[in-house]
Amino acid sequence: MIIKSFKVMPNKTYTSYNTENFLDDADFLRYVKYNNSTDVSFWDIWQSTAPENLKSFNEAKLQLQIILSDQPRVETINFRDQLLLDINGSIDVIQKNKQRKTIRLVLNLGIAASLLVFAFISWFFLSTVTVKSNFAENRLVHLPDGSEIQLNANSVLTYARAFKWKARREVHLKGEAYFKVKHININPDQVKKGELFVAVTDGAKVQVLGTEFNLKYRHNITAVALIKGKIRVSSNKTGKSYMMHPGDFIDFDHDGNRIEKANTLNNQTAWLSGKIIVNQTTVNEILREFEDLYGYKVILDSPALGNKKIDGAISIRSEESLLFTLKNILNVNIQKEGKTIYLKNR
Amino acid sequence: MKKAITDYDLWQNLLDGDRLALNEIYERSLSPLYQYGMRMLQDEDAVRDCLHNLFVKIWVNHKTLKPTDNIKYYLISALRNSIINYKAQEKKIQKVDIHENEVFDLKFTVEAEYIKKEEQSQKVMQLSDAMNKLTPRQKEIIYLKYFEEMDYDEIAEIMDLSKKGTYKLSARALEALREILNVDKAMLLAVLLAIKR
Repeated sequence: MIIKSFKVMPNKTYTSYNTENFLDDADFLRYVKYNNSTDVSFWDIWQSTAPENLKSFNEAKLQLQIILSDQPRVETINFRDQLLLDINGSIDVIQKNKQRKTIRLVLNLGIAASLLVFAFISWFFLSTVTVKSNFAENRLVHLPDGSEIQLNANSVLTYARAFKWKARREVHLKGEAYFKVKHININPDQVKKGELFVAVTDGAKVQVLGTEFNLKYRHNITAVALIKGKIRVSSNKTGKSYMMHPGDFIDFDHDGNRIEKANTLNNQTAWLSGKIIVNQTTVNEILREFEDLYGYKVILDSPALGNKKIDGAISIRSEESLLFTLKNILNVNIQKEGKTIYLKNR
Repeated sequence: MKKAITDYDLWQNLLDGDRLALNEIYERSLSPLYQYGMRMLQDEDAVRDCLHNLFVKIWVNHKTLKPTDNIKYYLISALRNSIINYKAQEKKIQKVDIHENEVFDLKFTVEAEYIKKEEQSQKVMQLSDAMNKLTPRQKEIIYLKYFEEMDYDEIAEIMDLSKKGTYKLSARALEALREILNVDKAMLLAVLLAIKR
């Protein structure tokens, strides 16, 4: 049953109330419905004053009594307790499932995050960075350790993305490049991890601590020219290694044999200043260099011309200037068809 | 004596995720809900299902419920909706037109001793006869007004009378109600306006 809190009787006289007013009055309803002693005494006194609308009062009271005559539907204690148990049971099941779902979600998220981190680390440590220069294009590459590499045209430099994290700094070269390797070795007698720098071509390996050298690998021939410091060069084929000192120059052919050759350092690094310095060099060799750097195929009219030897410096800064020089030295006409150049005797 | 927590605070505790608040709400409001449900459905098992679902639902959705300072009114309104849904499902399964056998179980008896006085018996019989002939919806209005002590605004809202507009007290029903309750025409108009709003 509803327990209504007792309210102090409002200051009403009710003398002007008709039946419907009484029926709509909350205090009157409370009186008929609950028979509070305070309410009963109030209405007893009110009736004893014989108000004019006593008839309306009785009529409303009777109607309300009829309306309220229906017996309340009361649930059993068993119903009440059992239903509450069931409700709490259902909620517990829902709650547990939710928790399980949350745990599973967190678990899955954790797995996904780990996989992502793993994938990133794998990518970082297994992938490589490739820098490629096009024909007639030089590129300066800054390595993560501070070393600088000047790439000559038509060359490819590859190194691990985790360059600094590897046991040794290692780059791979196809083409030609000038290396300025940052020296990070403190004690030369004790070379620590990461201090050794290795430049690799398909033909040879150059191991250095910190130095400047030129490395070239074209047409299966590796050429190393040391400018500063000390490097160890070893052939991939024969495994033989050579200690080099500043000013030394080493060539390896495709069988890994060392080619001794009269050459000066200037010749090897002249490309850095946009030249080739030739010293009893055949026209064929010069043309091959030109082909390598600018991506043309050069065809000579007479094979004899190719064996002609030349001395001097030739500008390779632009293909036009190189062709102009050749034209004058060799006394030929130049005909360009797409990517092929014909040199014809005049 | 411990001061009882207000409806507003109790409901707020529920919204904050307090399971004990849910149990307290159950203890406070089960009786009127049970009674109203039984009058709507006359089937204790069905009422039990509806009540079970109602309490589980308010717990599951407690984060999205609106605050209220009248829990009983809120829950009766919610229970009415779930009973209507239940009836709609029953209708689908059993293919019975619910409007045909819709009942609001409210019976006016003359057995009560305080209205057995001889001089009133004739009038009492007439009145109770007329009142028992009221439509289920009219009985529901009377129930909510006098048993649950709601005002007409609350009743209109609970019974969704303003929205649907399907409930139209016919002229005859109005007349019957006026006769029964001895309500004058102006008053009925006010009731009707409150209902149609």
